[in-house]
Amino acid sequence: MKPLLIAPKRLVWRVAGILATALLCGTARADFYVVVNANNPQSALTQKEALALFMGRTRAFGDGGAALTFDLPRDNATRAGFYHALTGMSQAQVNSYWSRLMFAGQTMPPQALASEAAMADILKRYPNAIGYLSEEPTDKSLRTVLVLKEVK
Amino acid sequence: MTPNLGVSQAHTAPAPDPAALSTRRRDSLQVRFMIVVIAGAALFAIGAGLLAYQMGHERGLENGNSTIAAMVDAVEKTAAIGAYTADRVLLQEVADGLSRNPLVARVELRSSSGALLASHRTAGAPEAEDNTADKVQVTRALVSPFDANERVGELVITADSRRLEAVARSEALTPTALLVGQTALIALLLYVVASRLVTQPIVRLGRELRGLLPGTSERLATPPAHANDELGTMIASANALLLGTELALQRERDMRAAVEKMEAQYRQIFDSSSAGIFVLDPQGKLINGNPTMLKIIGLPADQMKHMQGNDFVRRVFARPERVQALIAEAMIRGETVSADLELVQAGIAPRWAHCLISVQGTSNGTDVEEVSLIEGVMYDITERIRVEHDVRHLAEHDALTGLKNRFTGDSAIDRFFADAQAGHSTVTLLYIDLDGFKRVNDTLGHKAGDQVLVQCALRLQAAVRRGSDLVFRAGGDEFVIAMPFTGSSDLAACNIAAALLASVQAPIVLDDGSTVGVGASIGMACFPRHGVTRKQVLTAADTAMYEVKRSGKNGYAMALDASPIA
Repeated sequence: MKPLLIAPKRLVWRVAGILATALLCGTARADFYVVVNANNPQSALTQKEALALFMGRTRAFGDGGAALTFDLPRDNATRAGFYHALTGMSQAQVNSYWSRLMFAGQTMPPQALASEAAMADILKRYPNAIGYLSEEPTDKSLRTVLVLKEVK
Repeated sequence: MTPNLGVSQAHTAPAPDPAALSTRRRDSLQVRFMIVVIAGAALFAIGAGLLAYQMGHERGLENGNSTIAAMVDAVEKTAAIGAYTADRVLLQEVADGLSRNPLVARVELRSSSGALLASHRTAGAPEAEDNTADKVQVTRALVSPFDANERVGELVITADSRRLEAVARSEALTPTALLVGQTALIALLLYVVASRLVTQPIVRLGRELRGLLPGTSERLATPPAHANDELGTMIASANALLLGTELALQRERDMRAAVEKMEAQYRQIFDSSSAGIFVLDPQGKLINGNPTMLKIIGLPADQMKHMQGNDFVRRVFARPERVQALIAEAMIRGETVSADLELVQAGIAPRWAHCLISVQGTSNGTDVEEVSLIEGVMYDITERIRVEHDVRHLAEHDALTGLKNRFTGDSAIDRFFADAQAGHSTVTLLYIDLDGFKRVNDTLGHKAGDQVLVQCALRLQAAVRRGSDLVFRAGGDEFVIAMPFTGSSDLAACNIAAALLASVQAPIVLDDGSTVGVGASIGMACFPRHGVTRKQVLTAADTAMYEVKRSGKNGYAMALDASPIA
C-alpha cells in the first residue's frame, strides 16, 4: 500500500476505513488492485478518478495523458467484484449502464481482455494503459495506483 | 338547455281555446312550472357546470404536470448517465424522446457548469424567451449514478402551456357537457312527467270547471288514470261541491218561490182587506197603506203615491192631537189601543173610523222607548155612527115635532135644577096647553092637528132664547119650556110668555091652503120659589095653567107662592 499524495483528511478516512474493515471482518479479504504501467507518470488515483476512467467519463489521466482502459470478460468473477467495489453497482446494473451509453454509440466501454494474465501482459506493454487485477502485481513494470476493498 | 326549451314551448303551444285566453299565459300553472323547471335546471347546470369545468380544468393541468414529472422520472437515470459521461448523443436521444410528447415545448440538458449539452425545441412552440408568468417548467437536478452527492447536470423541461391548457380544457369540457346534458335530460323528463301527470289534468280540470254554471247538474268526469290519486280526490270533491251547490240553489229557489207565494198571499190580504191598513214613521208620515185605507179616508186608489211622505195624522184626522195622544198611550202601555176617530170632513157628512194603533220599536219590557214604526188598522164606522146618532135622536126627540120628548125634557130640567142649585140661580118652567086644538083635530082630522102641532112647535122654538132655553113636548097638545137663569120677578119670563102666546095665536096655514087659529094657556112656576123638585115646580106651573084655562084661556099666569112646603 502506498497511499501517496492523498490529502491528509482523506488519508485519515482511508486509514479509518481500512481499520474498520479489518476489525469487522477479522480475516483478510480479496482486494482489487488498479494497476498501470510503471512508466505511467500517474503514481496514484482516487476512487473517483478510477470511476471516471472505468465508467467512460474520461479517457485521460489527471496529467492529461490519454488513457487506455482495459476490462475483463463479462462472465469473469473478478470483474463483478471489481465493479461492485468500484461503483457499488451489481453486474447487471453495470451492464445496463453500458447498454445505455453504447446505444447512443458515442461512449464505449473499456476493451475486454480474456484474462487477468492478458490484462497484466497488456499493462506491461502499454505505458498509458490502465486495468485491474485481483492480486497485487509483483512485477516491477507494473504499479498499483489504487487498492479497492471487496464489498460484500 | 336548448332542446329542453324547444320541447317545452311545443308543450305550451296553446290550443285556440277562448276560455284559456282569459288566464294570462305567464300566470298559467303550466307555464310557471315550465319556467321554474327550466330556470332551476339552467341555474343548476350553470353552477355545477362551472364547478365541473373548474375541477376538470385543474385536473387536466395536474395531469399534464404529472405526466411531465413521470416522463422526467422515466428518463432521469439515463439523463444522469449521459450527463455523467457528457455523452451528447445519449442526451440528445433523451431530449428527442421527451420532445415526442406533445405537451413538451422545450427540453434542455445542461452540465453542472451550466453548459448546454443537448436541447430540443418543438416546432411552433413558444420561444424560450417569452417567459410568461404561467409558464410551466420542470427542472430536475441530475446526480452522478455513483455518488448521490455529486451533481452532474440538470434537466429542464418547458411545457407547451397552450397545449397543456387546450388539453385541460378539453378534459374539463367532457364532464361539464355530460353534466349539463344530464341536467337537461332530467329537467325535460321532470317537466314531461309532471306536465302529463299533474299540470295538464289540472289545466283541463280548471277549463272544465270554468265551463260549468253554478247549480248545474253536470259533473266532472274522472280520467281512469287519476281515479285513485289526489287529482281523483280533487275531482270528487269538486263534484261533491257542485252537487252541494246545485242542491243549495234548488233549495234556495224553492224557498224563494214559497216566500213569493206567501208574500203574494199577504199582499192579497193587505190589498183586499176590508180593514184599512197604514204604516207610519215615528213622525206620523205615511210609509205605506192599502187601497181600503185610501177608500176610508176618501181618496181614489191612485193617490197612494201622493200620500206617501205626507203627515198622515194631520191630513186625515179631524183631531190630530187625539191621534197623537193615542200613539203616546200605545207607547206607554206597549199594546194596541183603539178609538173611534172623526176624519177630516171631505163632503157634507162627518166621517168616522175606528182605529187600532200599535207601536213598534225598542221596548224595555212594557213600554216602547223609541218608536220605529206606527201601525194602524182602520174601519169605516161612518154608517154606524150615523145610525147611532139617529137612534139617539129618535129616543130623545118627539117624532112629530122634532122637539125633545118628555123623557129627555125631564132629564134636562133635572140638570138645570142641579146647575141652578149649585150656582144659586133660578129656573122658570112654562107649562103650555094649546086652546082650540081639540076642535081642529076633531073637525079637520088628525093630519090637520099634526100640522098645527108642528107649526106651534116651530113657533115656540123660534120664540125662546136660542142656546139656553129648552122646549119639549110633554104630550098631546102640551109643551114645556125650561128657561135657566130666569126668576119669577124677571120680566123676561113674562115677555117671553107674551111673545109665545102671540106667535101661537097667529093664523096657521094648512097644506090644503085653509087657515086655522089656535090659542094657548100658559102657566109659569120657578125653581126654587115654587118648589125644589121637578115634580113640585111642574105641578105649580100646571096649576097656574089650569087657572088661566078657567079664567078664559089665551093668557099666562105665574103660579102663586106655594103653600109652605111640608
